Amino acid sequence: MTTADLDNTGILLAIRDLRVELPAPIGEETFTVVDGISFNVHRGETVALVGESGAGKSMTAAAVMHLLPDDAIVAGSIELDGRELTRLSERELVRVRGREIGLVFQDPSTALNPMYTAGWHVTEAVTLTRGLRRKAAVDAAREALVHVGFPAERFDAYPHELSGGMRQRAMLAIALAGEPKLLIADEPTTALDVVAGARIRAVLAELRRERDLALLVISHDLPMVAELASRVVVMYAGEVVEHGPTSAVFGAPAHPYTRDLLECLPPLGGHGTRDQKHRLAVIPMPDGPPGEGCRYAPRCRDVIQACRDEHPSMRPTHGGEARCILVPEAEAAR
Amino acid sequence: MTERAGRNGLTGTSADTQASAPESLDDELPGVEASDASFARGARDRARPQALLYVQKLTKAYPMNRGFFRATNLLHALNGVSFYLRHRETLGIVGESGSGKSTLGRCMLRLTEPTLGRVVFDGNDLMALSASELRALRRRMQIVLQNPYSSLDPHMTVGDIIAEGLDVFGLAAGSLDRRDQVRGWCDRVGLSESITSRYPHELSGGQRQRVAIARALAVKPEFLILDEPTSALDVSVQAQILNLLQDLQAELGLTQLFISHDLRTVQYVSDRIGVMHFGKLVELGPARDVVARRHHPYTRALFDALPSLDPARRSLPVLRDGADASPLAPPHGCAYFARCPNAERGRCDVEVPPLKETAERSRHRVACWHPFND
Repeated sequence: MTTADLDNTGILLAIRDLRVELPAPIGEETFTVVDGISFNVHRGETVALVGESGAGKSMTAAAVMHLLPDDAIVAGSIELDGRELTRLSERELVRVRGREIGLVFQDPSTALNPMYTAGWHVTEAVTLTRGLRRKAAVDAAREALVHVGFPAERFDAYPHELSGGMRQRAMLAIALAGEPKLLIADEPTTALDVVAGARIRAVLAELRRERDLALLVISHDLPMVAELASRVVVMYAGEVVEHGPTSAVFGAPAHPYTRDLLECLPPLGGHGTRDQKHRLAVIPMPDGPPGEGCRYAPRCRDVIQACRDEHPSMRPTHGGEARCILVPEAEAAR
Repeated sequence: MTERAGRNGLTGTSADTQASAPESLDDELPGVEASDASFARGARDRARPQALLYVQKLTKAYPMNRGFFRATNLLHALNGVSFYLRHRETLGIVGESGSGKSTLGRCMLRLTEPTLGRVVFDGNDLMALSASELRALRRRMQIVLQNPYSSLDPHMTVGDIIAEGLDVFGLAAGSLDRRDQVRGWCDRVGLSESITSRYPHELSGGQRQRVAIARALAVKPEFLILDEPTSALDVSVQAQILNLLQDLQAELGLTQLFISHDLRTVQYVSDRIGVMHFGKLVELGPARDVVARRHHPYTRALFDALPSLDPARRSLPVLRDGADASPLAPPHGCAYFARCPNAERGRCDVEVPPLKETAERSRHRVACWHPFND
């Protein structure tokens, strides 16, 4: 499914010019952690938000869920199914969280209360989001757990008795208890080993197929994202620098940052590094704060003077856009 | 080289482990004599001339008391692991969480006391050493841990952290030399000199890991264990650290054990790869062979689970959900039996497959009754 196939009516989550500022630890200054980002998530679509730590990925998710610190300044628009979320009261938001948007965090070991069983957690979530009574809630919780591949006989297991993968499934069941239309998963497989991570990916892919669930995956794990998402949004220093269909963004990256990130990955093949004198590509550390121009300019190996002078705007690419003046303007015609 | 030698070496083991371990472990190590002989032969033929270190039947069992009057169960975190490391070689160890990878690293340095087995480093049997002899040898064997947030003392400056080993082993000739050495290491690992007066919490994850590497290398070790050294880092920082480790290894002639659950990184940095499952090595061989052949069904499952950037390979793996055997009740046969597509009832669930050569004189070994051979 590409963006072209989807008309505007299919948009579930629309983020427009979202800006998040956090107060600096000292003084009156504020930090802009998310700087005017825009993207859509369509119904039943999986979109990945990728970038390094500090790029603003998790802050974007926190803004959607209204889970930012109280002193954060939020501007711009977040529309879910046509309804503006930034203007909702806390009371109304409680209904949105869990019932319309589910959330899964990176570390399932700290998100579960060690005093309660997996089953209790999911039952609690079902009770709160769907208002079911004891017996019905327990049944619904069992069903939700089985649905994500959590073995029914472990219903009464405590978090410490479960593996990381099983805890993450319990977290998924909690997030899906209210039957949301959108699931935001922040680094859902990062804390897991490769086999457990693959199983979570398989569960997420199945949920999308079966329930028409829209998924916003936030991760720095590019191969994981490549397998799961149909569209990718690349963030750098609070901005979107490239977005488009996964195959285009990873197959022929238009922005130098996307390309450099992909080149950092160790290649597969097991040739032994010392035989080949192979070295991984390195993105140099910035030698100073970005100036008026492109934020990636201090680290970019393709940088020209114009990059430093002028902040680039988005230019069309294959099915997407990239924020780089080196992307030929004629690319849109191809 | 009998089992007794290993047991006698348990000088520092706590009394409860020692009392409860040996009897039940004998059952876990069938044919000890035979495989010892074959190991010794292999070591003589191929490894001895260049081997810096060898590990023999290394085992760590934790007693699990399930109630006051009940029998003590043993949890085998590490179950009879044997291998050697040649000079200047990088051996990568992969496996799922709980496979015993980190226990292996810790037991090899006796940071965790093994229940059974031997570690011989440059002719010194680590299990037979006194505490002071072991301390002297530890200068030559260093470890870098995954989490640079918790493995650096928050109350020490970066300079003091890097110099700690120099102080402990008396490797600095006066304060000027100490300062010069610290500066030299900062430069070598790509940290600016001004960082020496800062504290760990002021540093980024990548900088902390560089500090941890500088600290480990400052005492000029020959052997370095890297336990998930890049798992907490962004890909761009990971690439820098991997390149740095590669340079340092070439420059200093280091022998390395690289432990990680990140298959992509391990296959990239390693000369040989050992795949651990359930406290045992199930496959061991040259990195290229292990990646290309994937004889053990578990190795195959691990590689199949590795996500690929190539859209043509974009298929989610079909993974068997069967649970592994419980670590508290080790199975009679292969621990991968329940999840294995090639399992043969009556054999795989009865007999433990030994780690043996895939072909005559092959350096590639696999512990499986029905390995993949395509």
